[in-house]
Amino acid sequence: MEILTVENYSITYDGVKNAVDRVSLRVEEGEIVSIVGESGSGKSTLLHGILGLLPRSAAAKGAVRVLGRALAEMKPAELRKLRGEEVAMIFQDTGRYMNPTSRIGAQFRQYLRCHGDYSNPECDAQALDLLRRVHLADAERVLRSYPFELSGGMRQRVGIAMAMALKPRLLLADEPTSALDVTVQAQIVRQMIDLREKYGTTIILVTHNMGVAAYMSDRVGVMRGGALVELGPTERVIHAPRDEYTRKLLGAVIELDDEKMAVVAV
Amino acid sequence: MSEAMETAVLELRHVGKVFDAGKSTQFRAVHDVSLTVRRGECLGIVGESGCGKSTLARMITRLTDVSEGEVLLCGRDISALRGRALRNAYRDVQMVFQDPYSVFSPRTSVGTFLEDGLVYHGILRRREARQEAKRLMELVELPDELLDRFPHQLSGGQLQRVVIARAVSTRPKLVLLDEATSALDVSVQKQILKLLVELQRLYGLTYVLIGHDLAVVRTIAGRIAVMYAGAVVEELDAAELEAAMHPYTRMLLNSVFSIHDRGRKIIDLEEMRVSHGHGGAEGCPYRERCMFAGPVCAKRRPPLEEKRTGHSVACHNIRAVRVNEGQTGND
Repeated sequence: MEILTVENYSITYDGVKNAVDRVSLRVEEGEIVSIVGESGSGKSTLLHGILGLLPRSAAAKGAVRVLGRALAEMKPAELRKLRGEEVAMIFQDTGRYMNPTSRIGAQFRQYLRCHGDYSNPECDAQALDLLRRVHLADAERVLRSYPFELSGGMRQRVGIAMAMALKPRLLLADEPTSALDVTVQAQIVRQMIDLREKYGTTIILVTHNMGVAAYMSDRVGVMRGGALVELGPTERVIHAPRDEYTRKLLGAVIELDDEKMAVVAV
Repeated sequence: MSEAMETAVLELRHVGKVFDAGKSTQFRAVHDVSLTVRRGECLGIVGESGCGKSTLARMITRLTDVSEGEVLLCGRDISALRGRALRNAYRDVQMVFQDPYSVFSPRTSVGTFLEDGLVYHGILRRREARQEAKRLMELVELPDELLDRFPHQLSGGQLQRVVIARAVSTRPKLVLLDEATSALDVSVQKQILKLLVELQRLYGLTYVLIGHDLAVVRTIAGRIAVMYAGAVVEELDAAELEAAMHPYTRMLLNSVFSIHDRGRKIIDLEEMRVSHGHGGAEGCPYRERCMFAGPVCAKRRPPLEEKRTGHSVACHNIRAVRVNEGQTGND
């Protein structure tokens, strides 16, 4: 089933240049698709557009259909229901989107009650369960903590747990590991793969890390200057890129087994 | 060994940093670090956020005070210098930070920024400095029209080139690169690394490169020191990185995603336990995250010992690590 359709989609800020330039993309249910590109390529803007999170100064053209429904025609109440229940999003620094003056437990309750009739104990039980699923060791303590009391990696896992609370069918992940240490990044990557395996969640991942994109996705898209210059199965894009820019980008990736640039002076 | 001592540009002897954390508690951010960097060498220091690598760099550049031990620059201890002597020492140690925008005053043009360093350290007079600034721009492959521009008019990559130009302008004995390419796009990152290598060749510069990305550090560093919880847990030749022995280094290596990794790498969540303690004063700082930790690890901090020539490790259980690696290799 097609879960997301983006057709000839452009986003313009203040009528100037296209931040997103005529992008078309279809994503099947259960797929993991990565969008890679450098800063300013429009990959993040595209993701925000899909969820209708663009600022007022942005003007979008073209069509975005989530689960067969056109985003532009949805009423605010419908959008609110869509977000969280059908589509969830995690960000580079999820902690910044949390309320700094409220404990994680309280934020879970608020989130769940926006979407359903749950009692406090029900919310807490569900929150604990979700936090354990993302392998947070001391879930009770996390629930009692304020966001600043958790490390970046822990907050990101809380963000993923919260995003998964209502078992959305589509997860949009905007550079979810970029601010994290490499070992924590590996854990988050593993957890996103688990989500797909356990719940069949469709994931669209925006990242500048080619290694992460290659590791976890079925398909990879490359953006440059707002345009999707290449899109194809991961193996094909990595090993036989068709676009000149994709080739350049892959060539710039520094790998562990790269040849050394410098010979050490004796 | 004596030959190495003679040519050491930087020598750290049991360097430590203690911060006051509250009324009666103290936090040890850097613990007993001893390292030597010879002329023309590039030492890479890797570790995750909070491991003390930046604090160590700030002590070497004397941006923060040295709590314990000695920092020897070309044989002279700079850890206790004050006033004019310290100011003169700054000239010999330059630093390049992660975010070039944070280094500039938004109201200072690129040209003035480059001239200021030269004038401040008494290398040139203002009038002569402009000519040198032009030469420096050429050195870092930037057009000299940019001299009259302001920071916000340059890209991150261009700005980082300007910062590097200023860093080398005082002909420093040592350049510290603290995550100098981490904030840049991949294509720009590689260019900056190439530039750094080129400058190193040209001037015989000595670098300490601090970073979290093993792949990046490995491409230009000759030796690598791995830090965890304030201490160096392993030190080895960059070319020997695959032969790393410390379980933490092994895990770091296993966390790097290659574009050719698809379906090959296995991420074991149990192996990657997260802990936030620095492990307390006694015992191995890594033991709470370590899958090989035994009773001895809680009792005694493992010393950094040379296991092979030029390869030092601080771990009680290297044999166990090796056996485990052998097993996974056979699967």
